[in-house]
Parts: sequence; structure tokens; C-alpha cells
Amino acid sequence: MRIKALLAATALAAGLAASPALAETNVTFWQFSTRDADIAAWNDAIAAFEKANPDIKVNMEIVPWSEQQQRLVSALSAGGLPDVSMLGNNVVAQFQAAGALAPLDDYIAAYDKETGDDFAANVWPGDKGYYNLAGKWWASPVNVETRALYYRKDLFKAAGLDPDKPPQTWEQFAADAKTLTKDGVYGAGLSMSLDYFTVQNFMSAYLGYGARMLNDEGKCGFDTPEFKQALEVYTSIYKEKATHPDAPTMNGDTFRKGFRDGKFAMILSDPGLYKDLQNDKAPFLDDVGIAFVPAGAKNRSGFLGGWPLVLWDASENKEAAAKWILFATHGEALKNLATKGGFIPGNVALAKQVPWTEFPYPVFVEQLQDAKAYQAPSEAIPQMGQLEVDTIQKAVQAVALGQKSTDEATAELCTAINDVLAR
Amino acid sequence: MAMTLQTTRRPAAARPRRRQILPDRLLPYGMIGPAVFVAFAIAIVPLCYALWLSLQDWYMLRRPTPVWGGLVNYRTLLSDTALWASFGRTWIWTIGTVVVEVALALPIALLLNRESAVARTASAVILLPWVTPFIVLGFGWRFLLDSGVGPIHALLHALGLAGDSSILNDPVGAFAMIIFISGWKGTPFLVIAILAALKSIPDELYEAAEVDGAGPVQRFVHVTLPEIWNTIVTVGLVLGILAFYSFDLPWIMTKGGPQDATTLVGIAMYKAVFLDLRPAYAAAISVVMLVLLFIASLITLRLRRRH
Repeated sequence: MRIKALLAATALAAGLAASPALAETNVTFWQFSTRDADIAAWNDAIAAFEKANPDIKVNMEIVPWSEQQQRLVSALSAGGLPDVSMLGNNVVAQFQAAGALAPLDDYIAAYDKETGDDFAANVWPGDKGYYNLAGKWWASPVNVETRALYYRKDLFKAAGLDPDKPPQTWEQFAADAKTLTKDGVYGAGLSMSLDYFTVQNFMSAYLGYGARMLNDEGKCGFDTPEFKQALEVYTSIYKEKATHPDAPTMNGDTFRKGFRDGKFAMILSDPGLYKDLQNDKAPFLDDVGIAFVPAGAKNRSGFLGGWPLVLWDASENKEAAAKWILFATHGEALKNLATKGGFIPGNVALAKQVPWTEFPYPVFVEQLQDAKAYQAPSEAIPQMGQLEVDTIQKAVQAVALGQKSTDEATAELCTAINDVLAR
Repeated sequence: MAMTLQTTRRPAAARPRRRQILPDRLLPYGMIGPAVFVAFAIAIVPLCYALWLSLQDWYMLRRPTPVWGGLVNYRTLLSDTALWASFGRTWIWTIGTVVVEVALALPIALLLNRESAVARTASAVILLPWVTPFIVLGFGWRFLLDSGVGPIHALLHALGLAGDSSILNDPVGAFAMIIFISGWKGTPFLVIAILAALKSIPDELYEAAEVDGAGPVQRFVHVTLPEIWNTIVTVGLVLGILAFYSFDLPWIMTKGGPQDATTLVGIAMYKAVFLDLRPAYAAAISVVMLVLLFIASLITLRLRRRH
């Protein structure tokens, strides 16, 4: 009898202990940064969210950027997708086209109504093309990124160039890079390899010269004099030996490290590089200037990077997941994430506040108005994830190494792009 | 099997029948069952899935779920010239890797076969490339081949094999260099195998050869080589299969470039799945890889048997 009573009490206690857990909604969240500061900031955001929403628990899993595409594609084909994840801005259209994402419109409308916010008005102009597809919102931006020109004023002076006049055009950039190359220092940290860093730099040139990736018929639009001119000017920097001899096989991190080590006089990079230089206590820190990216013959176009949070369609907890997305991408949570991560928030109103009004951010924030997608002015295409990997980079690499003429490389590039688009 | 039945029957007869968990005739099946189940789960099931997947039509950008496509992927594959070029490159890579492995492993194993303290220490040290992860090796070799600071680049430059820039910028040079690195990494495994084969050669064979007046070269050709040949072929086959499926090294070092100079089938398959979102097409590539490798393995094993 006593044993039965004991068992009954245990069962009751277990039931009571389990009841809050049963009411709790779990949201799985794949976060791609492995930096300790970022992880701590995300943990703070999760703690704040769970405090405000005690019935929702966010389970963060770290999936490194280098593995995220494999993990997501594997989960998409075999199951196991999270409720929420980060995503590169350029592949939102890819997963949306695959029917894997859920639209956020209803949740955004409810959020705007509740908070008085205007979601659409606070998305950067360039980002709208990435996240608003077929008239619906598929992502809420966390971060936005563009590249500006870092240049060494001391090296400009030593080479007889005016340190207060950084190059304004790609032609000037190429000429200055050549002048600056001496004594073991290369004028420009400019990639010609099959690395993302190449297309992230080169897109400023081809868009600046007025070239378009896609023509009005939705096919390759690169076979134009504008694109070929951009390709000539860009690769001339390697041919004139104004960048590292191994530029056709070096990756972006190596160039970045090279600038930090004083091996390059100029580089196109993000605001985080300045933070790295501060942490390094670089001896030339006071001589580092930051200016807009060089312009082409037609306009000035900056790289537009960034990552949002997305809601996966397979989620069984969409409401709770959407709540977490909108919490993390707005207000104090986003401000804390951006401050600790050293990036510009994907929310325009927030980016107009401190610390983004202080050096080095203003030049980046201003340049974001000219930041564009690779395929601008065309709409985002689902195939961009495939195209940005090595099609454009291959053309740059082939011309830089003298393996193909500009005409041959452009023709092959268009064949490759059209093949992918026609699948 | 007959042996097993014989040995298990005798003690069973001595025990009361009711205490038997499995009847004697089922015992062998019960014992090999778990192993067969594991083999089935990790080899046969994925293989059948790959075969099934290769017959689907599934481009994830156009269709969220697979539908029956018959031979559509195989037809696409037949006309994919870039893929066949990567198949050709993969054969050169595979054979090149094994040739480098044999060329390096044989003399090293012969040296280590001598009884000395140096040989014993070197036997342990020589394993380093084999146990070092590809990611570490890849970045290490990139540094060694860097045109600014790389000592191997300086050597290649002095020999006239590299210009001012890294050899990795040159399509032929990059391919040859990565084949060499691939072979260098696999060498220790072959060294250990050959060393074991060398140790098992009876001294009497060498003594008899010496009595017949054979010199060192003749002893190597007529005694050593025939005795270790089967080991070289068998382990070479295993290493060749590993090389055929390579992905890490060329991806880390050159991302398959410059242009497509180091794009192997492994890289093509990776791109088909994770970048192009065409898992069914990638499955068709893997099936063709398997068939080609199976044929090559049969030919290699015939070479061993003939010997």
C-alpha cells in the first residue's frame, strides 16, 4: 500500500514537473557565426527573448558558414531543417524558389501593428531586391555589408601621391596601385581567384561601367563593351604586377591578412577590417584612410552583402519562430548583436544611431545607398547561388592569367550563365 | 562453415537441450547476422538509394520533391563534356597518385627494412603525412608554394619549374603538384604494407639466390619484387580507390582551378549537389563512378591473380 502511494506521488510530481515543458514551444535556430563575441551576443538575445516569451524556448545550434550550404541542402533533401536560420542574402531566392521558405508577411503585419514599426521602410534599398520576392517578404535582415576602399596614407605619401586624394575611378585605382607597388608592398589587395572575394570586388567594376549580368530577356547580359572594359581594367592590375603574383589562387582572407600585415597599400573591405586593425594595434593605424569604392564610367556601385533570418516552411512552430525572427532583427536585440559583431544592422533606422554615426561607419552607411546586388538592376534570381561561385571568377582568372582573351572569356562566361539559367 | 558446425555440436550434445538459446543450425547465422546487418545498413541501403535517386528527375530549384525521371540524368551525363573531362582528369589523378606512392614508398620501405635505431624512429615519423588531416596539409602546402615566402616555391623557381608566381597558378603545374602531394600523403600507408611484406620474406630465399650468384639488383628483381608484388597491387588498389574519390585536397588548394585544371569528379559531384541543387544528377555521377571503379578494380585484381 505504501509502495503504491509512493508511486502515485512520484507520478504526480513527474506530471507537475513535466507540465510547463509540455506547454513550451521549442524553436530550433541555426546560427552560422563561430566567433565567441557573436555567440555571446546571440545567447543574450535568446535570453531576452525567452524572458519576454516564457512559453518559447530557442535552441541555438552553431553551423559554421563554411558548412551551412551543405547542411541546409542535406536537410532540405533528407529532412531535419531548423525552424529558423541565418542565410546568405544571395541564396534567399534559391531556397524560396525551391519552396523551402515560408513568407513572413502576416507576422510582419502583426508585428508592425503591435509595435508601430514600418518593416518595409527600414529595409535597405538593395536588400529589398533580395528579400521581397514575388510580392512577399521571405527574410528579415540582421546584417548589411558593403565594401569601402581602405588605403594607406603613409604609402601614398612615400609614392608621391596625394594622401588626401584616394582613387575615385577604377582607372585611377589601377594607376595608383601600380605606383604604390614597391619595396615588397603591393599596390592593391585584389583577388583574381575562384574565391567569392573576386566577384565581390569585381562586381563594383562591372556595375560601375554599366554592365548587367542579365539582359531584358533574362539571359546573360555580359557580352557588351561595358563588361569587357571593366574586365580589362580589373585584370590589368594583375597584369601590371600591382597586386600579389599569386592573386589568381589566393583567397579573400589571405588578402585581408596581407593588408593587416602591411603588404598591401589598398584593399576593398568591410568595416570589420578597421576593428581588426585596432585589435592588432597596427603601427600604421593612424595612416589608414577609408573612402568610397572606385566608380566606373557610368556610376559608383558598392557590393551588397548581408544575411537575414528566414523561416523554414517545414517548421511546425511557425508562429513562435516568426516571433523570434522579428525580435532578433529589431530594436535592442539587433543593436546588441550588431555592436558586438562590429557590423552595420540591416535596419535603416538603427544604422542612423550611435555607434554607426562614428568613424569608420559613416562612409559605409553612406555607400550602402549605392550598394547593389550582382544582377542589378534585374530582380534576384534563384540561380545566383550557382552563378556566383565560379562563373564570373573563372572569366576574371582566365583573363588575368592570359589563358583567354577578354572576348573569349566573356563568350564562355555567357555560355555558362545561359546554361545554368536554362536548366 | 562446416568447421563451425562441427565445433559447436559437440558441447551442445553434452548440455540439456532446453538450455539452448539458438538451435545449432541457426547459431552461425545468428553470429554473422549483426555484421551482415551493419554491412547492409551502411553499404547496400545507401547504394540502393543512390541508384533509385539517379533515376529521379530532381532539380530542387524547379521541383521541391523528386519524380520518376528514368534515364534522364544518364542522358544528361552522357552529353556533359565538362564532366567527362573531369573523369579523364580523375583517372590521371588516380594513376598519378598511385605511381607517386609506389615510387616513394618502395625505396623508403627498403631503407626502413634494415635493422637500426634510425629505421625504427623513422618508421613512426613517416606516418605523419598519413595521419595529418587534409585541411592542415592543404594550407601547409599552400604556404610552402607561396611565391613570396614559400621555400618549395623558391626551390621550384631555382629549378626553373615555377616562374615569379606560385606553381598553383599554372594549370599543368598545379595539377602535377597536387598529384604529387596526394601521393606523398598516401605513401606512409604503402610503406607500412611493403615493410610488413619485406619482413615476411624468408632469409633462405636470399641465401639461395646468393649461392646462385645473384647480385643485389638481381636479388631485388627476382626475390624481393615477386614477394611484395601482391602487396603493392592490393594496397595500391585500395589507395587508388581512395584517390579516385578525392575531393578535399584539390578543393582546399585550388578549388578545382585554375579554370578547371584540378576539377575531379568528386568536386563536380559536390557542385552538382550543394551548389546546383541537383542531387539526382549527382547520384547518377556516383553510380557511373562506381561502375567505372568496379571495372578498373576487376582488371587490377586480374593483374594480381595472373602474377
